[in-house]
Amino acid sequence: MSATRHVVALTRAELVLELRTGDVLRTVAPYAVAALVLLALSVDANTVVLRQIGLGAGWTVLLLFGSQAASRRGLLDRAAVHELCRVSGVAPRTLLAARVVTTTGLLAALLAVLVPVVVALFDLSLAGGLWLLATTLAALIGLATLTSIAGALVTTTAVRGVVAPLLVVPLSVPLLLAVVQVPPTLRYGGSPLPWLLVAVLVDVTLLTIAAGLAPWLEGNP
Amino acid sequence: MTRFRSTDALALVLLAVGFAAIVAAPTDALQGLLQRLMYAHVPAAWLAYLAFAVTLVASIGWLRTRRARWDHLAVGAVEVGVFFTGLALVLGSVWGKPVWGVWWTWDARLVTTALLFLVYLGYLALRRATEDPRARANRAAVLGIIAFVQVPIVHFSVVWWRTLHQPATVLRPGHPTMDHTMLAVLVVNVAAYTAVFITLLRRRIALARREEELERGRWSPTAPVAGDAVEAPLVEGEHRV
Repeated sequence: MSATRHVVALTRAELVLELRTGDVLRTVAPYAVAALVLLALSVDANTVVLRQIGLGAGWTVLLLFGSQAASRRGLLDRAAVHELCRVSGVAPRTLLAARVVTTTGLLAALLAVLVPVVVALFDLSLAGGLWLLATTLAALIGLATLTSIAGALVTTTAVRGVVAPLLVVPLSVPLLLAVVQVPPTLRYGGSPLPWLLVAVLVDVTLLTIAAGLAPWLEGNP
Repeated sequence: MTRFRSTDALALVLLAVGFAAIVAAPTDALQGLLQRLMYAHVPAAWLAYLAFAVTLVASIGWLRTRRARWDHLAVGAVEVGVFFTGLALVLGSVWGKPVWGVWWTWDARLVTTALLFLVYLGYLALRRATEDPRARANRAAVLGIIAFVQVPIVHFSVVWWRTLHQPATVLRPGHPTMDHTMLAVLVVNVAAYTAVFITLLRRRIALARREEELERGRWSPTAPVAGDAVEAPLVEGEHRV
């Protein structure tokens, strides 16, 4: 069985598990929506103010609650399943790749839930759609890679729900900046290409680090 | 208890010399006495870089050799590095309030340093959260390598972005852009703080060694457990084997 097939099989199994348990979409997502409502309420009822902070607030919530996806108990976090995969000859890089693909899917689903809420609550305009979409996709891949690395690091730890976000949040700041800077750059007539490149550069760096360190992240302790 | 060694004495002497040099240093024409904070702020920032570079080397050393001394060195360097990063942030804030008018500003150098501080706090949290010593050393080593990415970003933040924080005056291409007497006082204090760093690191490594011995006892299957001394009562006529 090729590495790609392993990744597909593991991702499918992880997503089926998510459909059954609903850790991200039925527990984390409603909590994230509640956080957005609180944020909007606590800042101002003024639409102009809310419109200005909407994208940043939305992405901050995605970042904080998305990093909770790292602390969910997925299939590969179960010692027996992980060991079975390893003795069956699944390479550590393949295991980590499966984590990244699964997390990208889960974060995309979380984003799909949050976007309409942000648009409604913060009266957010999605002008510059293509640039914003491209930067968002690049940032989503970076966040998923970072979240997956953190997930592999905190697996079997006692307080994973707290430690995972603590590892993800500081390192994800360039991704947050890249996305939230696209609309103002367009508004002032500039090209958002440098911000897209920042997100892509972070992706490449994180993916390279993940590939290089996978044997220690997913291999024998 | 770790013995008081000649390196500890040297650190104390160097600190005293550094303090005397700060008192004797010329007063800045614009900032007055406040500028003397530089003699502690800059060494603290330099030691943060050094500590995290030591962590990077020690992390690679652990992953390659699995020798415990690398792990001890890594954790010691991070703890001391976090202390010096915090010190640099606090001193910078105290210096910034009268000069910039605010305790904190969203300046690239300040933000990246704060993030560096948080990343290594995460490192320490990860270590505390992992019980198995070998898994702990492995995961910490991986994070120790990833986290170092932040160090060059902090250093070059004043070059890459327009910042309120002044650009590098010593670690830059060309001659330092600083009065020579002030530079000499700064160098003395960097040496003094580095000696303190070595002393703290050496003591933390000794502590890590003791912690490892304690853990080895705790994780050993033959180690005594609570209740070992309690014996089952004997039935009449029965003898203990």
